[in-house]
Amino acid sequence: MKHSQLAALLAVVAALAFVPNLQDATGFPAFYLIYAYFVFFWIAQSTSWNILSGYTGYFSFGQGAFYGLGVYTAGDLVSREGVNYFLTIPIAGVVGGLLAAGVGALAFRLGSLRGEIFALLTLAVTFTLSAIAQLSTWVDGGQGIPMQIPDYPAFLGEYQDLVYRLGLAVAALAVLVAFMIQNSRFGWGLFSIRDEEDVAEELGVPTFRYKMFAITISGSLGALSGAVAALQVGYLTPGGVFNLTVPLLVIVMAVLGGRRHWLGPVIGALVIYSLQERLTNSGLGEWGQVVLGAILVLMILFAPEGLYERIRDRPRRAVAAGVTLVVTTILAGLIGWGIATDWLSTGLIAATLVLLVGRPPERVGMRQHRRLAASRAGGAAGR
Amino acid sequence: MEPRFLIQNARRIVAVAIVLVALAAAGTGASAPAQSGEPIVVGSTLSLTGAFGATGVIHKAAGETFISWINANGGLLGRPVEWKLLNDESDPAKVSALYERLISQDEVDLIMGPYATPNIVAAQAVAQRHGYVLPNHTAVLTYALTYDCQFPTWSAGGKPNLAVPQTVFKMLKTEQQTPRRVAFVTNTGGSTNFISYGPPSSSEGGAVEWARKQGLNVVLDLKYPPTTSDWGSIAAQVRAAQPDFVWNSGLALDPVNLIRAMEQLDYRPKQFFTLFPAPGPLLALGQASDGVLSVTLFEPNGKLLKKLGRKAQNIVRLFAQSAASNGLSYRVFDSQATASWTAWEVLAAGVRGARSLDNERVCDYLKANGVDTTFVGKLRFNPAKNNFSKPRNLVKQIQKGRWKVVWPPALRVTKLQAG
Amino acid sequence: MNTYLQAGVSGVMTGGLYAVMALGLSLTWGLLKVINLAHFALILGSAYVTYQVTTSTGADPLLSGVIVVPCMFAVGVAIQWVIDRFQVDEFSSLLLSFGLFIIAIQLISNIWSADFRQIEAAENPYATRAFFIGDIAFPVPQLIALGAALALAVATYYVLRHTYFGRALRALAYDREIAGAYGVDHRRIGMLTAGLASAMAAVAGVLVGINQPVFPELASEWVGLVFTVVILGGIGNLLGAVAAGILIGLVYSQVSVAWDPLGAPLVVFLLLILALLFRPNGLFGRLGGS
Repeated sequence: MKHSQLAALLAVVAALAFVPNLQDATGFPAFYLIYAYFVFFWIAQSTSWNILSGYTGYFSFGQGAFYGLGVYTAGDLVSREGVNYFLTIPIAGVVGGLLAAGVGALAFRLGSLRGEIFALLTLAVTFTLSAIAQLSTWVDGGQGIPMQIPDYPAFLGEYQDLVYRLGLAVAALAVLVAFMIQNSRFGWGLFSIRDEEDVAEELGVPTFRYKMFAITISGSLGALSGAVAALQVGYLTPGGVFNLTVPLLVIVMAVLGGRRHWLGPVIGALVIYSLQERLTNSGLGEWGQVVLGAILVLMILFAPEGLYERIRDRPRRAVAAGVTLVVTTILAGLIGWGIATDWLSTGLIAATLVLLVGRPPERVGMRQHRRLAASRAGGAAGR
Repeated sequence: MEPRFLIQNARRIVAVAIVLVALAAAGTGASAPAQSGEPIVVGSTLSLTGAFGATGVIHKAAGETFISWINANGGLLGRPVEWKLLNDESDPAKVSALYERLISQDEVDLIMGPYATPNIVAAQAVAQRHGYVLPNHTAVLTYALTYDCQFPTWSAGGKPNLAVPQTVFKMLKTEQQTPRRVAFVTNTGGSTNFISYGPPSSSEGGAVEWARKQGLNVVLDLKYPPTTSDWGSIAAQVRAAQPDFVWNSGLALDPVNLIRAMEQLDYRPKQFFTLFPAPGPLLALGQASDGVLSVTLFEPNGKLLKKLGRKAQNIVRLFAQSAASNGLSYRVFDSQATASWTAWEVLAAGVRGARSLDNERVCDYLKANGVDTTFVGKLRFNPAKNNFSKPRNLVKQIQKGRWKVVWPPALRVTKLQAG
Repeated sequence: MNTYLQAGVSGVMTGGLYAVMALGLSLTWGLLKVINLAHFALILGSAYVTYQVTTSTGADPLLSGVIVVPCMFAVGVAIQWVIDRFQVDEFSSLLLSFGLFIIAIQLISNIWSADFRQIEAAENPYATRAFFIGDIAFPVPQLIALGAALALAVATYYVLRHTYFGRALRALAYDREIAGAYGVDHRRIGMLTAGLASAMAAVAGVLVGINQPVFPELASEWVGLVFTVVILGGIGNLLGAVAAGILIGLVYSQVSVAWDPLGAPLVVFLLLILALLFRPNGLFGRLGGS
């Protein structure tokens, strides 16, 4: 089962890698590659967040810190030290991992922080990085950093192709990592930490070590994605890079997609990003954001466990959603509502609705949840 | 409807509601099939929401004024002009994506620049990639605009970090108001930082260095981050330094907040200069802001406007109407609007001059000929200075609740009021 | 020396303004386990209404409170009703309120445009005034804010300790089910509390309105500092929030003079990290269940 999933995933990634060639051949607007890049970016960021916060339950407000660190590592090394841009990407990954490990060491060892306080610590780290970026002229100092497009080998294609492929690579990496974690003993350990950490500790799960791994991987992926984003952003400013958009949106995407499975953030990123795009520059103009906010509210109220939970173990529902997606997209295309990405958005919205309607998965209250988990864990210990 | 019915079926009702809204959204976003030939489409983005929203609206109003004006006066190459404006939400990443969309998806004929340097630089990359001419109105970070077909209309010259202090201190000297003690209070964001300190990793320096080189006594050199909340401490330090001239390299509401904080300390420096203020809110401070100085491209003061003639007067009037319909509280056609209008003029002039919509020919024409503009004189695009024209820094001052141009002598409507 | 003193006073006063903004957020977070991002939108909305009422009628800006406070109270009650009805948990409440925040800010922008709005000097007798003790100025808008923050915090403290409502609320915060067994209706108490918290937001908004120009993006700029005040003061501890606001304002101002205003945010946030690591319940302890 898992092997076939992995194979399918790899096949999808391979197919996606050739889309830019398709674009060169058929000449569809390069804009779609940029659109796809953004979807990849959000998939990477929300998957990265989910590996920490979804799998271990340690809610983080600090995705902006890893993202920002990645962006500025690339920006600073290229503009201040003349390092080759492509080299800065893995360096950013390392730096992000180091920061994450540092935060983890402080939070998990020194402070034994849980819940809200951990979340607030990650937020404080983000603010601190932002203040440093504003203060240090090496990092930024306020004037900002224009990003030049680096020289790169021609086979990678045009600029849009390059950005698309880089974004795809990082997103694929993030999703693969999430997939592998989920299907490993390590992942099981993380889930047990999420469900009932003290019991997990008793059962011999090395909680500190596992949490450190999770946060380090998360930080590393977030920073990798940030380094790629630096190219796309084009002009880096502390306010623009460290604002609350990234940290808040990744939470929205991962939560609404589903935090318990690697597919969750993927679905969430796809749905939320396309919804946002549809609403911002559709004819709704100034009412676009209002509709977006309203839909967020409704989704939180009616599907707080996420969309993935609704198709898990319910193949018929999944197929129904998939069919709705394809049919609606084609219909929208035939009628000519907007451009191609708009048809896709319409299809996604319709599929989301199909999933929202109907009986929700069993809602277990938090307290009952703990008892269930503990008894499950206790049962396992008895074996 | 019975409450129970509502609650039990809430999910379905909500779902239906979302469908209806989504359909409405999809429907209103419909793009009509491209009509063969007729309107010339100019695409651009503006920051209509987000950090730059307050000023982005001014450019929306200015652009709309230009579009209706040009369409009422024969259009461009005999065809009507249509403006496809998208909201970039003050995010450079979105700017790149949207200009890519406008160019490669919507296939607009021409583009216009967005608002604020980070966005302009982001748009520049896209324009360069596709070979589109990029007229832009608000770039002051001259060193970042390296594309040879970008045409800036904020006449900063190559080095505004030197040109602005040169103008200001020359004025003070000529008017025999050279200060003895100067305090600098700088917003470390973007262009204000650049004007105060010059480009990064360069010894060129900016206004602070200039003042020192002139032998002025710089008694305070404060830096504050863009979202400062505690102006009282800054005001206290300014007061303690006892300057007779305060130079605030500030943006938007900074001078308003600073002056208010100084008033609370019952302190008013002899002279106060600020770089890029939001002009309206400063006036709303009343007496406290009397005598405040700033730089501008243009002010529609009576005498100046009269010299420019009927056309200019009409434009100023039309802009006020457009500003009103866009909800602006300060509707005067000043620096921002002038730069915006001029950018549109440059685009139109380039197209007319080249007699074509071909971006390469428009670019060549503009580089070779420059443009005669309505409000800022003749613009020559100097490639050695990244296409920035000779610096044009008029100094304006608040007198009796209005902004009046007080320098240079050839263009002023009244004399500099002493501190 | 004088500069440090004056800056310190100004800093403390500004801290008072941030404290007043933090009160409602702290209250609902600590006692109802609701992280209400929409709180910032309510403050901003109140500031805009203050601007509008003052500009349209020429009345004293503080009188706008008469309109705004009850309105925001009602809004707070409504939001809490929704949260209760759908059993939204703590982190979901963050996302829910984020959605509401987006809606509110866009509505504000639609009504008043993205432009800056400011009460004219002629109609705002408070903005540039200050009381003087010797050479030291106590700016009026912030002074009123500090006073309001103290008054509200003390009043809340009294209510929580010495009234039935207060005791019921605290019981609720510790253990809802057991409190329920003793007859505490969590819905009504919850809505009342949320209404009061939003009323506090309205007060903060009026004070912001007399203090500075407003624009839609302003709400986002408050989040960092107000969260810091709430956390340092101890979530749910309103007196703590006032103390934290004063402390942060003081630190900010002294760093601003001794070093540079540019360095002040860094120092404050580093202190926040230290506090979270070594005093996770805030400098002054939390109220309500942790």
